[in-house]
Amino acid sequence: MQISKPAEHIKHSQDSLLPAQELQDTKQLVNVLLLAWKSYCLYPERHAASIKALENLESAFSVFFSTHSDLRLSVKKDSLLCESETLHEVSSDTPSEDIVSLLYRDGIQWLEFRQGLRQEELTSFFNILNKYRELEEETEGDIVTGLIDGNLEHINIKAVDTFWQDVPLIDFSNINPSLPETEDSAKHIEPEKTEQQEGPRRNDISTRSIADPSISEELWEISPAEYEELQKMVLEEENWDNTEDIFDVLLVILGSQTDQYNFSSVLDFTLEEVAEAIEQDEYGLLLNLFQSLHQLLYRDASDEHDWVRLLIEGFFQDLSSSKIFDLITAKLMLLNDSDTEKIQALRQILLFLSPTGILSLGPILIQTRSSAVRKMILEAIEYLCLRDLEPLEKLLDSPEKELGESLLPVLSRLKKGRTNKIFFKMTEHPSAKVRREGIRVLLVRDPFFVQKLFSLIDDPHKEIRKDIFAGIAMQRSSVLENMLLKYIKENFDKKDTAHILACYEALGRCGSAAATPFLRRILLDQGWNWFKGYGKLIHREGAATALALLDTRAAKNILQTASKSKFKVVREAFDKAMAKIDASGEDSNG
Amino acid sequence: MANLPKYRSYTLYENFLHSFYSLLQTTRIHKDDHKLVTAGISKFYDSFASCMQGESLTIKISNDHFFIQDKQLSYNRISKNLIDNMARYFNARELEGLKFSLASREASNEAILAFMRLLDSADQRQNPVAFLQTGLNLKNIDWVEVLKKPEKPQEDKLSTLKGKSERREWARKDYTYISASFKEVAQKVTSKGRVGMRKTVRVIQDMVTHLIEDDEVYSAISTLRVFDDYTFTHSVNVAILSMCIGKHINLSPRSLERLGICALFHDLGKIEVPDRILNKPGKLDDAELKLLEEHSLNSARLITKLRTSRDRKAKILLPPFEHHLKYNLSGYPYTNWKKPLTLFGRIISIADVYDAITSPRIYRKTIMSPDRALGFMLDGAGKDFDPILIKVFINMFGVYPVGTLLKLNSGELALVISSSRMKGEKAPLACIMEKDINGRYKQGATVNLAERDAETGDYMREIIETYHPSTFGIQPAEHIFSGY
Repeated sequence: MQISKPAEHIKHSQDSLLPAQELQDTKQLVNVLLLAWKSYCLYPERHAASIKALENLESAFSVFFSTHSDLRLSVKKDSLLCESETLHEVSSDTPSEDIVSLLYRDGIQWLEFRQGLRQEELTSFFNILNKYRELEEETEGDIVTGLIDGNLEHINIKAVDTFWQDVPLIDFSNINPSLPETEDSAKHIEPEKTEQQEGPRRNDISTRSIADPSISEELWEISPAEYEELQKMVLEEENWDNTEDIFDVLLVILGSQTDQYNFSSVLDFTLEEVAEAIEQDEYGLLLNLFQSLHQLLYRDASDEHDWVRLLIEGFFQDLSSSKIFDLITAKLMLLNDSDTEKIQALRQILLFLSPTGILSLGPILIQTRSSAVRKMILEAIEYLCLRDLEPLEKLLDSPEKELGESLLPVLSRLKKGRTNKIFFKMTEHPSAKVRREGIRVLLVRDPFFVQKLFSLIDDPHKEIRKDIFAGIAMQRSSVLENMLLKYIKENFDKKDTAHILACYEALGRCGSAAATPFLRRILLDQGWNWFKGYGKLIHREGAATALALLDTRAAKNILQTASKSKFKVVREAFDKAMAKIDASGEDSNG
Repeated sequence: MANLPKYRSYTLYENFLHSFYSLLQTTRIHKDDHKLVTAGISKFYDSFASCMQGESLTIKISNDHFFIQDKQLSYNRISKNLIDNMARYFNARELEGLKFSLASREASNEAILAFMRLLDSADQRQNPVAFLQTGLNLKNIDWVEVLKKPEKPQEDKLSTLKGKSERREWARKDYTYISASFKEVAQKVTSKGRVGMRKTVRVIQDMVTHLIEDDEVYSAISTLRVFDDYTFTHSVNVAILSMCIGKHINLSPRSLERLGICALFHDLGKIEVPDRILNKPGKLDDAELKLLEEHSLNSARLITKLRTSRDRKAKILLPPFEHHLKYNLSGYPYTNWKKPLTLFGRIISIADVYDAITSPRIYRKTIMSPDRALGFMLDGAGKDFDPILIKVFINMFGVYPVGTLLKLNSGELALVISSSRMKGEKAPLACIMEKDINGRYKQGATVNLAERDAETGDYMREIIETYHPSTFGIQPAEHIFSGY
């Protein structure tokens, strides 16, 4: 915004009605006002520059009011005046941004600031100006309606009409109040006409006039109690919380609609009301609304009204938009364990929303301090998952360890069906706790899943590796056997001896005769290629263990050979394996 | 804005002025021993005692500004109504002010009431101040002094007349603009687009400001009847009548604005009813009746399409929905609606029925005169209408509402241009209607029907029958407005 001519540059006219000092003070004040508006247009409301500008303006008004009375400024098309003095002229470069142009556009003739003016009022004044800086064609209001609605105690305006100046004023003398003399109407009035040739036609004479002496004035006298009742009615009306009634009316309207477009437009408004109800913590009302909409959903199952179902489903989908969920999230964050009722009501509400809401609810699990809220959200997520698991899957993509762990109670309760995908996703989660739970559930559901989880044999978490080995050991499987054989071959140089031994043990438990040649070679062969790992004691021990666990005739023969081997390292490996098996209490034939 | 209180309470001086004005109004309606009068005196005493400083308490008016103890009362949206009413009251009695002495605190209730009644009746006198001074002397009331306005120069008297014509002009403009804005909304809302409320809100806000200052001129203009444009005229009339009721029950300006918008849009749903049904001379068949009866529900639905804040929409939605539900919840829409009707719904229903039954319609064989309409509506108190609001409505209009055509015992026809609202006084101010050479009625002399023969005490002219003016082809607004 440009202020083309600072007030100081505008000459004081000879016939000014303002005393010189007052004029000077007014000019100064108007300059501060214009500068404040400029800042307000450039920066957001809460920006330090805007706040400072408003503080300066308030101070300027305080100074002004300490010596002068109320300030009335006249708004002209291109200028701002006090009495006959021009205080500011609109720049021809950017007239639309000038405060004077805005006021003039909406028909404001004068603007008055009164003693007692507060900074909040100035903020509201600027907010209103800003809100209506640009007017759309079909707008809800303008600066004038905004200022009147704003009810600013110390800012007054006078505005003139700007819309209807070309409309000719109504001329009563040209309007005929009577019915046209159609044949039909003539029929109606005929009896009266014949009865009374000159005079009233169609005049009702059967009803008693209020002036009839038979009607006592006491019948319409207002008693003191009635005056009090009236006052109560007014008070109730002015403080009326209409949310419940509005929902009820909207439901009646929706229930009566047979037109898809009308139904949809009422739902649009209902959505706005829902947001307001959340703001007002009216959860009980929301619940009623949702329940009633659901009833509407199933009321008419005919194909003809399939659009009702689609629109209501769309409504609930829209309800799960980030806008609504942001409101709910903000509310949830404020709740404490003691807010039992609200928590319960919100739980019910959340169940109506789309499962996509899980994405918004998840983060609250780690942000809220209330265990009751956390519990409620978990229940809601669990319920919503029954309708769609995808949002939960997406949520598990989050690298937040804490979030995954918070979801564990839900995850562990997820029933079969399409949930395996979730559990496999869990096995990739950054949290070991989550991965382990995923593995646990999957292996319980189907021991063969271990084949898919084989890669977790290398999980950094020891307990998870143990779980995988245990899973492998649960069954004889050529697939697992081959996987293990391949793994062992590729990882001969691993230094983690316990891991190497666990691999052999698992091989012994899941393998078959097919693994025997490999194990024989590892156990008995010479260590000419020890640098690749072959020939090391730990591998020979592992092979001996595996052979013992294979429990085949061929394996037994190899073990017998090993026990009598001329090489100490072979015998030693055999002894260690047997001692370990003995210690674990397993039967061996070594 | 959210941090600002919506309405502050009256200041000390405003409170005094308010208790003074309320007591004047109460004594006008009730007898001396009425509970409300006693309570009013007590409030007056209390507020008087709170303001009294030094030897006296002076109320003065200058250029429509009020001064108490030489301190100007702030003119704002809270005090505006009160100051306007009081200024009109003082101006009508040519008072510059009143000065209460310390002895006022010792004045008896009877003396206070005598003073109030004197003050109230002074406006009908040739020289109100002289009448007051004499009256006070006769009643030995010496604790209040009447301050007379300096003699009005001719120019000032003209400006009073100008004030009246200005108010008429406001009302005419407001009526024209509100009709135009309603038509625009109605046309656009059917084209399935969203319609802005800016123009409607602007004109209703103007109306509130003007109506608070003078509701009688709006009652007068609401007598306009346009057969060809019934739905639009009816909507505007209902808005005006509702706002007048609202003013009489002391609704705040913002509530009046909301009431006006609700009432204006109460029949918005009718734009979806085909004209052939709206103007069908005969009885409607079941399907047609169903379609017509859906209009109140559709008004509410169409309001949801208006482009305005959610809050405003929510606040104007319900009364149009309710306006055909009766006080006992019979009526339509036929739903299992069990909630008591809102105050605005009850007000609009009264204004709606009154305007409807006093409007000529092709499907109705007869039309009720306004006074008969009130009689008819009183019969429905407690069943069809809120029993208290219907009383307010009757009290607001008087027994011969503006726009009633009277047949006098002199054989003359007279049109009520200003009704008497005073208790015990039925006779209104009317203008004699005379036929011109073309057989068209024109306005003759204005007569006060309360005038009595000095010797016999009988009324100079007596009312023997009442008619709806349209039965004589008279457009009441045309004559009332020029006679107002």
